[in-house]
Amino acid sequence: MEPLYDTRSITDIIFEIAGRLGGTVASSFNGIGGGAEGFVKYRTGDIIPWDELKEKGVWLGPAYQYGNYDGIFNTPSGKFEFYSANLAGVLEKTAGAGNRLDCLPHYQEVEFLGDEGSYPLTLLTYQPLLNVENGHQNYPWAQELYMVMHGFGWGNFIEINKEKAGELGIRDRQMVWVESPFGRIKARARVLEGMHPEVVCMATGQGHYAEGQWQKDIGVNPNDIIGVSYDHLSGQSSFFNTRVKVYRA
Amino acid sequence: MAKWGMVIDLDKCVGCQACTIACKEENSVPHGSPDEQRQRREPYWNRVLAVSEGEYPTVRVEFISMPCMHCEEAPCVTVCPAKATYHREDGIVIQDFRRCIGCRYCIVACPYGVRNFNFKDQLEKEYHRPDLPPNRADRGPWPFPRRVRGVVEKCTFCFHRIDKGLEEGKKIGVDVVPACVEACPTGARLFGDLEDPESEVSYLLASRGSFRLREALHTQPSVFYLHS
Repeated sequence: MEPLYDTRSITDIIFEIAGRLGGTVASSFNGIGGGAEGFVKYRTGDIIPWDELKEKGVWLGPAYQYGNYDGIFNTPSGKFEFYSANLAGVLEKTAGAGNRLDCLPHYQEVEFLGDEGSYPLTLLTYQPLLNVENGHQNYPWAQELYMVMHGFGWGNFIEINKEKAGELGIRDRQMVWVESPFGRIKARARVLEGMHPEVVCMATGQGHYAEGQWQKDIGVNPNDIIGVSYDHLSGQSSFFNTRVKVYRA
Repeated sequence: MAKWGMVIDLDKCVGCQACTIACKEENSVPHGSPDEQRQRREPYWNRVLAVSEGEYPTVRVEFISMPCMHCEEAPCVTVCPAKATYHREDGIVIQDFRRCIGCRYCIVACPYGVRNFNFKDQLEKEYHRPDLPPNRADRGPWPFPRRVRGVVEKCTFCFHRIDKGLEEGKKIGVDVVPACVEACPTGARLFGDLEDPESEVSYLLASRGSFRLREALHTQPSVFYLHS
């Protein structure tokens, strides 16, 4: 099928842009085909011949047979492993001689950012219902009931346990500073019974930098004060381990 | 003559506010602004309140979704000086916007706080939908073309849907329901004829414990809540 007018497929355009950017971006696109058709050939080359793929249009792998564990166990010994040899191999290659016991199932102590003395509370950020499918903040009907559990909108709150708020001298709907080792933001406090005394909670999704007719200047973004930290075994980033302190504004 | 009522199952309600937004879409209710919310002036034909009880760590939150209760002894009907709001035969408390003088006495009289006053004109392109989904096209336009500033309005149990459904001979409560009932994802809201012993609402009211809000005021509301 010929392309219309002077257009190219999006894959071709991405390859072209990567090549023009140069440096490490271009090098990660090397050797994988060089274009849309080339990429498909590269991916399917050792599975199905190109002409056969063009004729059939699809490649179907073999159906899974129950009990055929050789096909799905990718462990070096071919058996279920408590001591993960795969993980040990990766750790040796990347981290050198690490603690071998890490490859067994174990409990890992959480590394909090910020010491308990100066920052007594833990910040938990959550996505409320209207943020889950990415951003309904620019729709006024959704924005006006953004905090569904509280029945308010046009902003987000820092939610504190009632006793803790009493200790800190904070009343409901009062403006407070939430400070972490990385910065501080000003938010409205919401004093609730349903919070753990040592945790404060804030909904993400507000505090946009970009313009938007209904989302401009609304709320604060807790991600501004969260630190960057990773779990060193799995490599995933951790969002919930920043400690904060809360005080009246 | 049918008597329309609504049953809301508090066990199934999750507080998603889909009913609130569906009602706003169906009846073109305008949105508020941050200032209006602070002054509690924003128009909501259906409100969902989150009521929490208990102390940490045993806290319980319940969502109570309140449309207009369409009371049999409606205080808003009694106090209206212009007789703009009246009780229809089939149980719906309905309003003639052209007679309303905007005195807001009915808002004061309503014990449930479900009436709203239009403080502002509706914007021209408030909810501009060039792509009407196919199932809206046959419902026709809402009988009141544009909301007028200075009148009070409230939930009408989507009487436009019910009247059109009755004309076409459809079964109300099964084929034709108000917008909030249709939108509820958990099936917590049900609509039907309270006087018909075969309807779903009568069956639920007979088999499960129910209550109505502020019964002590003897307003006889038509919206029942099932215990969670």
